[in-house]
Order: sequence, then structure tokens, then C-alpha cells
Amino acid sequence: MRLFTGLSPILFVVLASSIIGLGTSCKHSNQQVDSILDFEPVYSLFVSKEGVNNFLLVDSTWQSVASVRPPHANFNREFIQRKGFIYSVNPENDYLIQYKITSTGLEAVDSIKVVNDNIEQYHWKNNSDTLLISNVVHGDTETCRFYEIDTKTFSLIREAQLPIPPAVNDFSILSLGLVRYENDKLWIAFAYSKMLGHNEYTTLDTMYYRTLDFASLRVLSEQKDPRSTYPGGINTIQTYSGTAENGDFYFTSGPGIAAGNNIKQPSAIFRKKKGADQVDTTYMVNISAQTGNHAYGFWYVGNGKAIVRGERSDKYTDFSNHHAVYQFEYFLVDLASGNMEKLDLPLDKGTRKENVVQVGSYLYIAIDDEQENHTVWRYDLQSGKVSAKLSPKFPIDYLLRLDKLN
Amino acid sequence: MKITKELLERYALGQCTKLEATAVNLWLESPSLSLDDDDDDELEVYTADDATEDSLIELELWQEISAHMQESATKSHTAERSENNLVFRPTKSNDPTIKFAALIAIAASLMIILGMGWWFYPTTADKEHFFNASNSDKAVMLWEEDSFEFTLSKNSSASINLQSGNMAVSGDVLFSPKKDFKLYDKHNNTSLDFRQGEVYFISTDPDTSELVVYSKSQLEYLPPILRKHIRKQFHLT
Repeated sequence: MRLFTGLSPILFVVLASSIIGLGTSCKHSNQQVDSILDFEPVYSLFVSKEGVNNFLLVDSTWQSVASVRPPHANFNREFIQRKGFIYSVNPENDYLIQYKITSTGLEAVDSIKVVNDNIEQYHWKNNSDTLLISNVVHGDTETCRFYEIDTKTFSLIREAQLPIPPAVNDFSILSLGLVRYENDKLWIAFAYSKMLGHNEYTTLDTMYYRTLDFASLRVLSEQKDPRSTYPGGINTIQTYSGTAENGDFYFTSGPGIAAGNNIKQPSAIFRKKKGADQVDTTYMVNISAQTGNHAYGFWYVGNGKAIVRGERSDKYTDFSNHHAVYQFEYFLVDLASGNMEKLDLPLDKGTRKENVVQVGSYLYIAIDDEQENHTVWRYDLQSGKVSAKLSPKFPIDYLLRLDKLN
Repeated sequence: MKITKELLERYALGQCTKLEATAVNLWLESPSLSLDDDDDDELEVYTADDATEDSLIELELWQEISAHMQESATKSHTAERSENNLVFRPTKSNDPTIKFAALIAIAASLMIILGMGWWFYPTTADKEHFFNASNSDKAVMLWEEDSFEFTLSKNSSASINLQSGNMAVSGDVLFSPKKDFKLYDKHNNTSLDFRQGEVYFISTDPDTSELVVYSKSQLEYLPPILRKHIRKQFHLT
């Protein structure tokens, strides 16, 4: 009896927390995750728990979820996904591997050797099956390597060096921010950084653009844009640009602490009009001026609107905890007027994420919130209503990616 | 007169009476050197049966030292006698006096060695509990220990006091523990948990002098430029 009395407070706590837990789980309707994939996957979440990554494949109704282990332990979120295939560099041997998504997981089909263990920029040429990859070759003098790959046969069409200057003065760290093909031309946006100490760096206060002839890779024109710095970013990790229905191309700059680290310059949206070789110097949406913060991530969602993911400088101390604190807000930006509307979503964590998917007038956004819920939210672009769609019952620290498999 | 261990000890120490000394001398010259005490039939008093682990080690040491002493004693005797043109006596072991003296010498040496071992033990242990590595000229340098590995970039150093758990780093290092460690940044007395199998990038913040630690899995959350810088330093690409 004495034992029971002694245990009763513990039992009470256990019972109470079970009830609270039950309440929370009911509210977020945690979906059971199967280990067998017996449905047609339409969406894919890439989740991380203490450095261990997993795919969670989801059906079209968001009702069935199955976990699929990545093909190897070093498989990370920096992959390209298109038409039932996944492309990822194996960091052990720097091979770009083409995987087919099957009911048993990712099945390696073919491979091509590349420089580096990651992909800095990828672009589907004319939205065809030709994949363009651009990487900076690390070294004291940085150069830029370009690959043109036919993904139907998974064969290398061309491998070449891109004419990008390795440095500007002592700013010798080259970052490729955007690469885009249009009208037989290759347009590239880049920036230069330098280390200031063991963990400190900054980026030169100018965005550089070059237009090359696609066949010869000869430089056709160059433009220096001092309105911000660090255009775009590594696009296997997060999207920083989009093309509107009329062909105009929009992109963001990232001078914030988590990217360019030249924080006096603004995070902003820029435009390159259809067919133009130059960036439109008359157009700029200054995100920082409106939010008082920097932003990273840009998803074009149609009808002249885009989603921007903004940080909260009052929430983090420096980049050491930038990824771990709940700080990210989502804004719907009207690209014509520049107006920004904050979405009614919980604060998200994770410095960079590829977590916005559009299906018709619905946006699905994967968020890791302060209550330790890892939820895919649905935002209705027409009504502006927000609802929780899926919280997988699975060990998760970060929902690093949400993809629509197509 | 009974020849006992005690008597032999007193003989060695010169504490015998004349009568006792004569008896011992006679005994030493006799072919069978048996002691009259039942419990100690032989001079080799160490037996494996009642030996603890320590005494087993001592026994091994004893045998090693004994073998060495006998060898060197033989050599010295041989040389001495040759010089003096005396009759060559092949081995010392046939000479009971020398054998006994050697045994006494061995015992004394062993005591001195064990004593020194005890005296120096704490110092040796301190050395074992302190790891220190530095790299001033190579691009990257690997230090491998039983329970961890350090990769030091150029102009870097790392030290760990494994007893206090204090860790100090200058420059940039990669730390790969082979077991779980709890170490301390002595600058701000914060504890750092290192997990077996993970790789950590450690440097010192130049402004605060505090340790900055990132696990390899955290590297992907760092700004791309910093991640690239770290990868370049340790040739991770």
C-alpha cells in the first residue's frame, strides 16, 4: 500500500501526460507510418532525426504514409527530383547517381562522375529532359564546371569550364546563385565572399550576372548590380527563383547572416524580363524594408504571387543556433505591388528548406513548430484559410523537404 | 645446525655468529642445497598457486631480472677470471655463493624497481591523461588515439586533460570520438557532449575565446560559404 501511495504521484503524471499527449495527437491527427509502400506515392517528405534521414512517401489524399530508407547513410537532402527519378551525388565517390523511385525504395539506375560531393546549381533546359549542372571547383583559385546531361539516356552531352572570374580583389570564394537557359543563352548570377576569421566571412556588396552563348560558352554580356548581394543560393537545398506565366523571371538575394552575411544590404526580389539579357534595374521588392528582417527562399505560386520565407533576428543569437530556433515566417508577396502578407502559420525552424508545394489553389507547407509538431499545413490561396493536413507519427527533428513527385 | 631462510638472511646481512657462518659456508659448499625448513624446501619461494596477479607479474619480473643478472654476472666473472689467468669456471649457477648473492641482488633490485614504479606511477598516469597535439606546417595532420582521433588543419593545436575533461583548441580541428565523451570548455565551464561515431568541427571564437563546436550532421545547417570553408580545410571534398 505504501508503495502504491509512493507511486501515485508518478502514475498521475504519467496518466496526465498520456491524456495531454492523446489530446495533442488527436488535434494534429498523427498519421501512422507504414514500413511497406503499398500505394502510389504522390508526395514525398524528406525528414531528419539526429542526423539520420528518411523518406516519408504520401498518397494523393494525404491519408497513407510509408517510410523508405535512403539508399545509403550519406544520402542527404541535396537531391533533384523529377518524373519518378531522383538525382543525387554520393559524397563518398562524387558520382551523380540516377535513382528510380520504386515500391521498395530508390533503385540506382546509372551514374556520372562530377566534381565535388554536392550540386551547387541545377536547371532543366527549356523544361526538357536535359539537365544542366554548375559547380564551383574548390581550390585556392576557384573555377566553375558545367555539365550538360541527357537524363533519358543518362549520358553526358558536354562537360566544360564556365568563364566566371575566380575572384574580385581578395574576395576569392565564388558562389553560383542562379543558372538559367533562355534563347540559346546561359544566364548566371554569382557573388564573391572572403573569410574574416575562423568562423566569420562576408560577401562583396554586388550581385554579378553574366550572359553566355550556350553553344560556345563565350561571354556575351556582364552586369554588376549593387542593390544587394548573394543572388539566389544552392537550389538543391532551397528554391530562390521562379518564372511567371508571362515568362518573366523572379529571384531573391540573400545578404542575411545565413547566406551572404552582408547584413546591411536588403533581402529583396528582383526581376529579369522575358527575353532580356539584363536584370530589370527598375524593379525591386525590398523584403527587409517591410519586415525588418532578412529572408531566404522564394516559391512562385502563380497569378503574380510568390511565397517568401523570412527569418526573425530577435529569435537567434548567431548562425550557430540559426537552424535550431523557431523563427521562420511565411509571406505571400504580390510581385506587382510588392505588398507582403504574413500567413497564419506557426513559426518554423531550419535555416534552409525545400518545403513549399503547390497543387491548384492549395499550397502545402511543411513546418516544424515550437510544440514539436512536424506538420504539413495547407494554405488555400483563394480563401486564405490555413489547416493542418498531415503530422506523421515518426521520429523527426526537421521536415527538410516536401516534394510533389511528378 | 639447521640451515633456514632466516639464517641465510642473517648470513647475507653479516649478522651470523662465527659458528653459524661456518655452518652456512659448509652448507653452501655441499652439493644439495636443501633447506631444513619443511615449508620452504627451495629458495624459489614464489609459486603460481598462491600468487595473486600482482605477484605473478613480480614473479615474471623476477625471472626476467634473474635471467639477466645471471647472464651479466657470468660475463663479468668470465672476463675477470680470464684477466687474472685463473681457472675458468663455466657457469655461476654451479657456484652456490654467487647464486645466492645474485638472488639477494635481484631481490634488492626488484624492491628498488617496484619502489621507483610506485614513486613514478602518478606522474606516468598524468601523462596518460593528457593529450596534446599540434600541427604547424602540414596541410592536414591526423592524430589517432585509442578512444578518439584528431584531424588538425595547418597552424592548429588541440589538447584534452582526460582527468578534468578540459579541452582547448586553437585553429581548426576535427574531433572523431570512438566512445562517448563529456568534455568541458574551461573558458566558460560549459560541458560538451561528444557522441561515438560522430565527427565534430571545433574552433575557438576569436572574440569570446569560447569553443565553437559543430557536428558533421550540423554542417549542412551552416551557411554554404562556411560549410565550403570547413570542407576545403579538411579536404572533405
